[in-house]
Amino acid sequence: MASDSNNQIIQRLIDDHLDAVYRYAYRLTGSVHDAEDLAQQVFLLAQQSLAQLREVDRARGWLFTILRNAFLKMVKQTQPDLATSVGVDLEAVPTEKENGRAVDTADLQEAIDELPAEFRVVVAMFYFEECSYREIAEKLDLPIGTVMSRLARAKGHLRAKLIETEPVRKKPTPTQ
Amino acid sequence: MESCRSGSDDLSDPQFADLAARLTEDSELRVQFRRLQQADGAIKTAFASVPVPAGLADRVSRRLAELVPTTASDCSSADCLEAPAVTMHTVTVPAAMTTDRPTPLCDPSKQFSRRRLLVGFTAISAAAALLAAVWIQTHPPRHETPNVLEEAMDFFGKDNQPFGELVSRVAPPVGYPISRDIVRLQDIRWRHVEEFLGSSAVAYDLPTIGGRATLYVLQKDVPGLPSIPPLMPILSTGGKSAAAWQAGDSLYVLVVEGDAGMYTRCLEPRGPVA
Repeated sequence: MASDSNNQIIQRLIDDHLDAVYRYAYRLTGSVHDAEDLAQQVFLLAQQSLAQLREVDRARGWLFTILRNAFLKMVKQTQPDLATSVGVDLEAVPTEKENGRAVDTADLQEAIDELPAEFRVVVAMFYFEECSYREIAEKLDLPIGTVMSRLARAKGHLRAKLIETEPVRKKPTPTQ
Repeated sequence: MESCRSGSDDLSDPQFADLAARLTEDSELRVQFRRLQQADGAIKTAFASVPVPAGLADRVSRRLAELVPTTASDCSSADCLEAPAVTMHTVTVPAAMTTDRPTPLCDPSKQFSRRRLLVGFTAISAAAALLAAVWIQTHPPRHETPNVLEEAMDFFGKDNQPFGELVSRVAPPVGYPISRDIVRLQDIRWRHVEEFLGSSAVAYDLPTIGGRATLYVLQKDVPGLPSIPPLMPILSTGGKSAAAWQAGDSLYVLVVEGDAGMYTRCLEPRGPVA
């Protein structure tokens, strides 16, 4: 009986949150295949730990936490391959924004892929989960100053790649 | 400004009271803030624009049904019931979801093994700390070292430069090589920095998990430093750890966010000294 009930809950979680979990996973991994694997892994872990979910209404945040941890664990196991992955399989879907300029989602993914994994997580929490810097610090158990520093650097990198016309400040080329 | 979310009421947060006050007074700042918010809005929208593959839900549901997992509710152990909300570190995640069966959350033999591992790790850590203490006592750094490290930590704390070039793609400048004692990672990036300990330097950003880590390399001679990286950081304060060593004309300063464990993870494992 309990098993049937759990299956129903899991199926509801899949119905309600799989798309968001997949999108988040894609932004973190930068690959359709890795994102699908990661999404599957999230729901498998959710199924195993379902007893810990006390409020179904807060399931999305719970699933995202599982996702972040699974991603970081995956990076640890596969580093440096995944961290340096620049494979982008996503079709470009230009997105209009209020001032008329658009951010190309493939370009965005390319810029995200260039970030180290721990910066990727912070910036995804900010843009995708819409967490405040304090929430990010709490959820990742990091000092607020660290979060603010990572956010500023990661956001600066994305803007430089996607929006600002002036290039990222570069120093003289190396001497050989 | 970077911490204010686009479309939110973050400015009403008391933490941002100073910023809110400055924005009402400074029109240039207001323009800059608005531009940042617009950019954030565009990036936020693009972030969520990811097409979901067809049939994904069916595949995930089918896979879960095939795996027939053991759920936490099957476990009667108090340890498991009191596990933190997210227990990724206590769950063995199948490397390939297609073939492996999930490992049950509560495997008593594994818990015992974990406990033994923890005890062993604690003992090793204590021994390492003792050895390090003895080493530091017997090799006291000269008075210049703490100043160098404090200054380096201060620089590191304010070091918000954009990401540099991948070492694997663009060779770093001759004369500023990365130390051979740093752990080999493919995605280390390098960049120029100015006024590090009063000199030009090259910073190597290491792609670590859990905190920033940067190795600064410069042409400077600081007497009294070891010729190889110390096994433990020389200075740990304010959530950062640092050590310096001198190899020929090159001064290496490694600063990390985190404790001694984080510091040692940045170093290439060293065999026993003969």
